[in-house]
Amino acid sequence: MLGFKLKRGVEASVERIFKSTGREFDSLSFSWTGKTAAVSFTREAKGVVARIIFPNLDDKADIPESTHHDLVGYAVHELGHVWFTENEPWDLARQGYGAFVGALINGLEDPRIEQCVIDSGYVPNARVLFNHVVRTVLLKEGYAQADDFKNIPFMLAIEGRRLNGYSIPFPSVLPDSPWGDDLEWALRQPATSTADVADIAIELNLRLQQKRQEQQEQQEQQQQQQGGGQGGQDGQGKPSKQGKQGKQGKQEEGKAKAIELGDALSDQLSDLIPQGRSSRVPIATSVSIATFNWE
Amino acid sequence: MKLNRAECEKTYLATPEIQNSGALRSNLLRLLRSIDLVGWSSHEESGRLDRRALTRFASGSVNIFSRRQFVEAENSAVTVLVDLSSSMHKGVVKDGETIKRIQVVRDVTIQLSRLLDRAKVDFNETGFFQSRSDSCTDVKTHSGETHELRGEDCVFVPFKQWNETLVRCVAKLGAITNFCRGGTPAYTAIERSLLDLSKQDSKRKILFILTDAEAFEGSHIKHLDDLAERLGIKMVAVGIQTYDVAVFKHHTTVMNLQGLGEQAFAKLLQTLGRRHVAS
Repeated sequence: MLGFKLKRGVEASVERIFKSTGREFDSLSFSWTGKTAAVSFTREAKGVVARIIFPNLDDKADIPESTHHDLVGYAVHELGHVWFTENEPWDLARQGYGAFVGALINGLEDPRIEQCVIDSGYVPNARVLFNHVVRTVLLKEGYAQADDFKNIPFMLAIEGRRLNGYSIPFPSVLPDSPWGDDLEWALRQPATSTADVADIAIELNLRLQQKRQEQQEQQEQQQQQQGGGQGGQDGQGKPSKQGKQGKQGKQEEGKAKAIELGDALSDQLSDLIPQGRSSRVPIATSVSIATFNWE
Repeated sequence: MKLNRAECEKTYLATPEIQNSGALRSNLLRLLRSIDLVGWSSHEESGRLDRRALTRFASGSVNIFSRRQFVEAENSAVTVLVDLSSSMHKGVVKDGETIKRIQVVRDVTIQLSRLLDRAKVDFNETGFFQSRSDSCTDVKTHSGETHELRGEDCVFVPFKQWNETLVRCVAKLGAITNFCRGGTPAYTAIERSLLDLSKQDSKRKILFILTDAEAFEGSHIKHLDDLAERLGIKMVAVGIQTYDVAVFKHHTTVMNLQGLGEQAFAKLLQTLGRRHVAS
């Protein structure tokens, strides 16, 4: 399908799905300029004011059907945030405890809202769509190494979805992870709102930082005992069996970026459109039709 | 704002014919006309006996039959997109009377609609303006990323929709001048019109833009031009007292307002691939 038509199709789907649940957008705009999918929204008296950002997609390119399914999956995921996420606890936690806590909340909140969407029945094939997106990402990006600290939010997002019952093409990394118990604890905590998720994420962050500090102290002691000149392990635990899977084997601590769910899609599409800031086309913030008011 | 239907209808009916455009209009009409052609093909080996081929039959030829042939008409779909920004109120003073751009555009639009209707072309005439100024906002997502978004707010005025008869639109077309306001959300208006036009079944699709906008973003228009090509649409921009439409692949500029009708028709004819007979 031509990218141009696909975009309008996805946008129309988002609006229709949202309206079918009896809710109204006061304002809804789409931007196809991101690296990954994201949503920014506020709930106003008149309705929801939302801006949904999708990855760059060339209007003139022929987009395969699988990417279409992925985009619809992302769209429903972002709608899930609009339906079930509260901004305030998330923003407060992020401001108070830093970006990593924000990322942990994201990792825990994503599976929660997806399960809420599935349970709500708003989108009858939501499970299939979400499963398709997760499989696409994992098969393209591979899974994180068990001891890759910066990818903990990604591990939470994937393992949370495994608990939702999705078919994940890689075995769990938690048994091999130095923080496996803590992550397992976080995922098993009952959470019915974003506020609950934020509390769990703050507690998890504390546990992780403590454990990391202990590991660093241990490492320093070992280095002192060995005379400090042997090099060896980086204090991030043993390399896991999972580390050889997918592309993650190539990643090194400090160099590689943390994986995000939209990365696979973004990489897929980013070469299709110029990325320059000046070439960004304006987005339609509102399109309306005037009426003729006859006397 | 309340519109007076009778007055608008009167305006439509009083619209004068565009001067010196008779030949142009008849050429356009011939080109756009959608008529199914029925004819006969000869030299067939079966069908109805062709009496003119009896001499060939005498010499042993077997292809002496003729058959009825049906050639389906090549339909056209045309969208006329009219810029209704407040700058269209500008004009020139002639003989103590101000001729506004929008008045001339209204006349051309009405003439075009008459012509297209006579040619049995399915067409759509839509105006557009921007009710609020461009918004430029930074959107911060939960992941901490900041996106700079430039938004356009576009209002469409459907003077004539697809499949609507011209008779029903007489008053609406006469009311074109009443909708002039705001800015020009050119990108959004053209993009949405391309999408709308691409959904039409017709073989030939033409998007005709009448605008006085200045400072188009070249890369955006090039993108729209490429997109139109991919969608099989011919996009023609007619600039009214502006040379900025030169960024469009098919464009023409009209500096003398009175020449707008003639030049607009000539450009449409040229785009359709026919050289017009001198007018």
